Amino acid sequence: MIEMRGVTIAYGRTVAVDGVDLTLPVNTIYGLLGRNGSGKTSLLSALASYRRPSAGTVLVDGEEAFENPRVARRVSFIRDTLDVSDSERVRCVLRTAGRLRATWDADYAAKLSDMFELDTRKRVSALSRGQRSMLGVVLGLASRAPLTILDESYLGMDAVARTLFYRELLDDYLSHPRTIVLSTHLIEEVADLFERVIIMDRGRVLLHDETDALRGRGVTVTGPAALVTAFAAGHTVLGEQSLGGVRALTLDGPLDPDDVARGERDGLAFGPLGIQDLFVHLTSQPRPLEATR
Amino acid sequence: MSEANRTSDVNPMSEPNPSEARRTSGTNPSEANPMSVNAELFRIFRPLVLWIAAIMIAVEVTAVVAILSVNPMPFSFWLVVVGAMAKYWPLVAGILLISMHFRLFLANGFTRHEYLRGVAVFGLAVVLAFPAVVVLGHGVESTVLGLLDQRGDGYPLFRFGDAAAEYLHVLPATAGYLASGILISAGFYRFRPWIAVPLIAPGALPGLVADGLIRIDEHGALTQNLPFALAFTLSVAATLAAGIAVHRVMRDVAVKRTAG
Amino acid sequence: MFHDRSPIYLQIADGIKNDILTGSLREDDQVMSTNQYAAFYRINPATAAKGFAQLVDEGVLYKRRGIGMFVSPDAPGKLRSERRQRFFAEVVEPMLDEAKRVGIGVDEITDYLGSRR
Repeated sequence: MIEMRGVTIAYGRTVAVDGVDLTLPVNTIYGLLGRNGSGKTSLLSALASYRRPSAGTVLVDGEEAFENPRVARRVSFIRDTLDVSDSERVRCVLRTAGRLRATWDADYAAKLSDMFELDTRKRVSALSRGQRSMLGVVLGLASRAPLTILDESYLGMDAVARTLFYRELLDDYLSHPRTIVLSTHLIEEVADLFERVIIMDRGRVLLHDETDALRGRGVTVTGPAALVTAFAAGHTVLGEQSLGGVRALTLDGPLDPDDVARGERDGLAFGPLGIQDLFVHLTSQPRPLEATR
Repeated sequence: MSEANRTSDVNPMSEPNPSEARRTSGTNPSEANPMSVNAELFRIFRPLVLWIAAIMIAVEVTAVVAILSVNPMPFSFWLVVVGAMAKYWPLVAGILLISMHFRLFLANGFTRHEYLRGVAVFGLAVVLAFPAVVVLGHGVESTVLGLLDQRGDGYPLFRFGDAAAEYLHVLPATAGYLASGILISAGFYRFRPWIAVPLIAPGALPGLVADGLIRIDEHGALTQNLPFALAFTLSVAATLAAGIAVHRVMRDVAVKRTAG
Repeated sequence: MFHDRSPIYLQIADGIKNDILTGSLREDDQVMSTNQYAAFYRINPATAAKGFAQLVDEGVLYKRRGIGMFVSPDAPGKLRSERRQRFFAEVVEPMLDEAKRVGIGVDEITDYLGSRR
């Protein structure tokens, strides 16, 4: 069990993470979503003990994580900038990880490098953005760390490489269950892999739920303005649009099927919202309004 | 999805199943790491040390041969070059230990304290070994020149009885420069430049104190600006103070996000 | 394979029920393990497990410890009668609504159905 209790991270007067409480059961794949500057990387830095929280604590199996060797051994945090020496060759970087990490699987690292067609003789500085990301994925997955954190590890990868990455992530998770936290903007293409989703907004956790619960959670209701408004009473409105007498509201569901059936009979049209759209609605300004009459 | 939903004869439960094994597995405490911080540091610095050693020897031989073609050796070239190297190499190594290698270990499952302990062991080894190389090299140089009868006036004859004194006159500066390198670069690692730059002054103290109080020159003259015991103690104290300062600065520092 | 406008575990359950109804999965057939299913459809195994758990709860599948999950002997019959009950509410009623909107009378529909017999 991984717990964050009141974790706050401030840079001077800027509060990047604001009193986050999170309880994360282990051996689960988490998706961490949030807009740029929502505090994702800062939160992950605290989770990996790369940064001591300004306030609050991170506990792993009840133990304080910061500067705890037992916890540190079990964490692999891959940042988009990569924490390796740029002047070294890829194979040296992999060998170093192999020497330092007890859980490292060198054969698997070689297999992944082959799969990504990563030239391990190249120096890190000579890698393209996408290849750097691939190296990050190799370092993260082959470490087989019980807590593996991948921060936007797909940057610069083309669609083929991303697909390979997602496939490998799932396959390796199936054979080596562990806790994986993946931060991403590309929600739609990975959502199926996430058991749970955490959405951050302005330094706070806006939502933490099973991914499956978000599918079909958002609903758009379209129809005559008066009817739509009446229907929306009591629901959280995530977005609205009006054209003439027609109004379309995006509601934070799920809705009662009987209500929907009644609404349809009255001439309202309902449309389910995908996860990507729900995310956009939840995190776009202004904040979700209470149902307006 | 029709056909895919039916399984073949394989036993579906024989494979690891995260959804069933979950929440129970995965927390057997710390496996020992295959390599300690200091062992890995020695490995990282090994090529650097070998290169420096090769260059030192090449420069020594070339320079001595060149000088001998004109006249007998009037001073110890080894004490000049390697004596200087015994300060500046630790200074550079100290900077690298923070600016380059720190995050490498943090990214591979070590804590700040473990890394700092490893650096302490590594640093101690450097501080003990480098002065020995200076003294040993001087001994070899002196012996070879003696055999060739090329020791000029002013050449510091190496005597076994003086070896310990020579060693102790090199060591404080090696320790001081290493500590200064680590401390100054720790300042830049933790703080913004407008704080780190003023911190260079106190950061340089261990090196400056050692250099100012205890010296050995190319003629083998041992200088102490204070009684040796006092000078040595002050110098060691400055180095230890720097060690404490490094711990203060680095013990909870954020692992910097840098490209390169 | 799956869309994200309704929970995947429900889509999984529906898919397997359809397979049972069409006969591609028969009584006492073994179904995939959640891991095989997850690997095949590239979804999180917990999501797959939830879909299977739902089917076990509904009595469509049964578990044999250490071996796997199988189609219940009475599943096809049960599913068929459930679907039959829902047929009029879920298929015929919306059709009649649409017919009304476009002005097709019940007689016209009956005639059409008669011609299809």
